[in-house]
Amino acid sequence: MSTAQAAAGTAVATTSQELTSLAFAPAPTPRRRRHLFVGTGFAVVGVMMYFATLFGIYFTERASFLKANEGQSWIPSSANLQLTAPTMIFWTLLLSIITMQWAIHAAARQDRRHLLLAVVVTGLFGVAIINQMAFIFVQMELVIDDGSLAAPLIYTICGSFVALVAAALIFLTIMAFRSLGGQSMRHTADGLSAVALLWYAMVLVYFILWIGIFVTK
Amino acid sequence: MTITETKPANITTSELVSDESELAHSEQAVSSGRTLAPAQTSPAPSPQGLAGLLSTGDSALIGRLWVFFGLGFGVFSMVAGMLLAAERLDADAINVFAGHRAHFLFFSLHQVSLVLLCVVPMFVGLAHSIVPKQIGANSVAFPRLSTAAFATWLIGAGLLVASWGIDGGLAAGGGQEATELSLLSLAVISIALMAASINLASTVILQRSQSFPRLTDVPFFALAILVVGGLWLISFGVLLGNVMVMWTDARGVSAAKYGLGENLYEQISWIFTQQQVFAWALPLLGVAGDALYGSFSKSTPSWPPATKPITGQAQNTTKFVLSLFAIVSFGAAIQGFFNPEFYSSPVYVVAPFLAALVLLALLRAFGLLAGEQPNSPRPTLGFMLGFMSFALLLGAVVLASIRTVGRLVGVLDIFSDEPGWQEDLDRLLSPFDNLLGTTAGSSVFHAVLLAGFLGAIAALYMWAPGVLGHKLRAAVGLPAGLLIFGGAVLYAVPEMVSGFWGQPDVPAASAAQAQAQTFVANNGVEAANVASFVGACAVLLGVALVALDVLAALRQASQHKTPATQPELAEVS
Repeated sequence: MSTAQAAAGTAVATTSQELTSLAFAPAPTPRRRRHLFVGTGFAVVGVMMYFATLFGIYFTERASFLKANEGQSWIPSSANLQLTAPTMIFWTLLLSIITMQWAIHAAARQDRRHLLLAVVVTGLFGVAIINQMAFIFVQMELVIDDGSLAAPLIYTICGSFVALVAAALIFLTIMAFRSLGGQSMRHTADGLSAVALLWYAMVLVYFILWIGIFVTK
Repeated sequence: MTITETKPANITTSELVSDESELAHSEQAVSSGRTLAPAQTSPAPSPQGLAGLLSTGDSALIGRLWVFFGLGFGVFSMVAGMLLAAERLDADAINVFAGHRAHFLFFSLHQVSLVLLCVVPMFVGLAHSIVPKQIGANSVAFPRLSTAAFATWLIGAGLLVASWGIDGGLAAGGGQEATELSLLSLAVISIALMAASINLASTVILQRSQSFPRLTDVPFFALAILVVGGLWLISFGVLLGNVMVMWTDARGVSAAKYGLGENLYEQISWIFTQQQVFAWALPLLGVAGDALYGSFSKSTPSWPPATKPITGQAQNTTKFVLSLFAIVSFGAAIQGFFNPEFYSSPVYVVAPFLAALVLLALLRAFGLLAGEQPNSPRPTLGFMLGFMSFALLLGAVVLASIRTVGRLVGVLDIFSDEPGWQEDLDRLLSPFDNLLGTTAGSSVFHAVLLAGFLGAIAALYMWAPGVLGHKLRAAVGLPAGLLIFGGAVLYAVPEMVSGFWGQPDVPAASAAQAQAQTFVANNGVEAANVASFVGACAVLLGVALVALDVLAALRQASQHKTPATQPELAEVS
């Protein structure tokens, strides 16, 4: 190794001794124990409890209303809750499960081209879900101030779901950049698995939302 | 060529090269002619001042900040508590506060601040400082998340106090924007504490060194933080859900139900009542366990904590029983606002008795643990304060059982419909029938939260060099602890006594509500209220003494800065 190279702070190892030394050169990192996956797992528990609370309140109030007002509709009659768009969201989410799993598979095989494709398609599905939810908000014409108990609850649940999709998309984007921009995808597969965990939890939340609000009304 | 690198204390050289494929990857890079990054010879200068504070990844510093601000808000909360106790000295008139609404706002602020701004943040701070050291780690699992959680909590705490100050709060008759700000601040605080809980629980799982092959090997406080991290996470998830429903409804021109001023406090009141209230104080059981275990060691100083695994039959039993307390502490599902029948459900009535059984079992497990040790325990300050807090929690559970015992007859109806013994039992328990809704609730709240606070003080005195960078004075700690313990007993027990005379717990938020209340204070209630006031003053004095001692220690630590947590430097040739 030349003095000039050493002075410049760069080195090309030639002997096995130097190679061993240089293997230590980057900052030492503790052994990886799937930090992001475990941390996201805990976060998912918190998110699920949050939505469990919202659904708990929703179903309790709905049951009380229907018991007290037999024959009346829980959803205000002025509202227009169609099933087409919510069902489209459900199918979109089902497809996104497949593409998300495709992304994880590609990352495990260090296949950048497929990873890029899978992440972009999953991201587009996420954007499409937000778009469809915005369409539902406009279409249903539910007035929050009309005195019904259903309106604030529906807006809280659906609004929280949109926020969850947005958070999952941001998380997916960051992890995709880490995977595609990094030297080795193997280290970042943990991050993509963490995104997938959040994504699948999101699909479960929507499934309950779809059945509880849009199907049973 | 010599490369100097910074080696974390808990990482062995074998761990650094444990991943052979990483080495192969480096070999590949070298053989292909690519250059490796230059070895870092000196650390980059870190930002100072506020920028340094906001970008720090030092969990010990973040822990210190949590503790410092938690203690500050503790003084604030106890001043509010003392004023509330002073207001009750004359139960038939409003003398201290400007009116009924101000009285109610101070009542709710006292409760919210004691839980969300004092006891929980203090335990979070202590865990940030102590748990990594206990499990042989350098830092928490997500250091930046720690900083973000603390900054978010501090902003939320500031917003909360400000919103109460500008006529917001959880009561009717305030400004709409101010009330919305109060709800938003509660949401912000919930998110911050959820993030901190995720971080702490992940730390115990991910960061423990190889000396702790099983989770049950970690010290008691670390285990308690793992258990309570999960419990707090789900509890704050529920609180956030409640608050978001209230906020969405309050945002409209006219609220339907959840955002109405008169309904706000009741929807989150579950965090101030049993069983959930026990969840906020749970880490004190870990403090008591470590204080007991440490008191048997003649040579090991209290700081740094011993990082050897705590194993054995008695220890495992103790940890199992400690974890059971988390199950009986979860009360987020019991929301009386949505279903008042919950208060008569078997789960609600029996839970405090189960909690008492669990604590007694834990006491027995501590006894077994002590019996296994070859030495006799040293009466250290941490040991004494830790067990004072444990005793206070046990007393609180007894108070909680008294509060619900009146409903036991209804629960026992399920098992038998023979009228004879039920009538006898009903007659026997009739004085306990109407304790719900009386100051018996505040009695349990104060006893539990002050037990938790005393547990945090015990940890602070036991591990002060690691948390604050300097020792605290035992000459201050013992009288302060005794003041808090004695004050808490004097504060809580008379509240339970006045509950038997029907003194309402939640003050009226308006003159109309006050007129609707039929309660008239007798001499017994007034005497109990005087005793409660004296207890509140004693607690405030104790908290203030601790705060002054902490300030003095922080000042001394800044004058004599010692590299207490300096990472080990290693030379690799």
